Amino acid sequence: MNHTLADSKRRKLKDGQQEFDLDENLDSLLNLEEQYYKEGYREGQEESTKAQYLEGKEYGFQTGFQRFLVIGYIRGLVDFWENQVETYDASKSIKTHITQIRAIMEKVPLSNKDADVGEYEKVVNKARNKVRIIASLCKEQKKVSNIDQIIKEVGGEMQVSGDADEMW
Amino acid sequence: MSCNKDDCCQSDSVCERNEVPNDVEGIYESVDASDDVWGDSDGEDDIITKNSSSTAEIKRVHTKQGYLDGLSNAKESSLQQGFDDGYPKGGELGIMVGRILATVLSYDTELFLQCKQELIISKVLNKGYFNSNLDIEDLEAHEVLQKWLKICSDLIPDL
Repeated sequence: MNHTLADSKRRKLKDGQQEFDLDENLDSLLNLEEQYYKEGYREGQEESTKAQYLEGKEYGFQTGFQRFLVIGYIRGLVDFWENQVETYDASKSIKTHITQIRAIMEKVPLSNKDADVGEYEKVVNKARNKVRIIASLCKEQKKVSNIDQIIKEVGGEMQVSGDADEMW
Repeated sequence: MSCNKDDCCQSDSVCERNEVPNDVEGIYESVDASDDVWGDSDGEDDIITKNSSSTAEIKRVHTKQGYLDGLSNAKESSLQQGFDDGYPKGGELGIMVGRILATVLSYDTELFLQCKQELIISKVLNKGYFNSNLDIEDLEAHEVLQKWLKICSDLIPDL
């Protein structure tokens, strides 16, 4: 490419079109500068866009993990109670509540869309209330009284701080 | 610019308008003179080399400037897009871990402390399980999760 430029410059000079040639060279130089700038810009932007995307994804993974621990935990308890339901005195009532809590938790949305996050909050509140009722019917209140403590221990603080480096 | 009529100009009108003389022969002369600059074949190589290195320099300077400007102008939506993509995947892992915790607590309380320690967020979301795009390619290869899933399936009695 460089040789081509030099060659065309020389040829045009010999054609006796010096002024026109100078203008054209200036134009092509400016075009070239702009082209290089754009190439660099695109590369830089792609790199930082990708880095930001990954940073967001990392943070999203952590936040999703933290927020859905409680859903999994409640499901695990419900699975256990359902499995052992015949061993409890209040088995009939427990069965009813289990059916209800399963219906509540069935449609908890995983996405981060505004409407889905609102729906998540509703589901978690209802499920927390329901799971307390079942736990007391089973006389196993201990399992739910410290849910928040367990989630905090496993999921860490909701605010992601300097620990993020350690984690990833 | 001073102008001596006899020495350089062919007509008053051209000098007054301060334009480059429309003298084809003069231009040819200057081209002939400049031909010496380009010289013969030996000289041409020098020119080409000089031209190449200055073009390379132009490329370097402008590409670098563009790159730096591009770096500080990441597309705005990318952080949010990343978050939105990671969130549900992290959520699925959270659900799995929560379920394991409740199962272990219910069936084997003595194992619970160990379970809690091994399934903390930093161990489940360990970078070693992720590829460069921050995806878990194979959940079967997630050792610590698989270990506790196996323990859970052994704990849960068949109905």
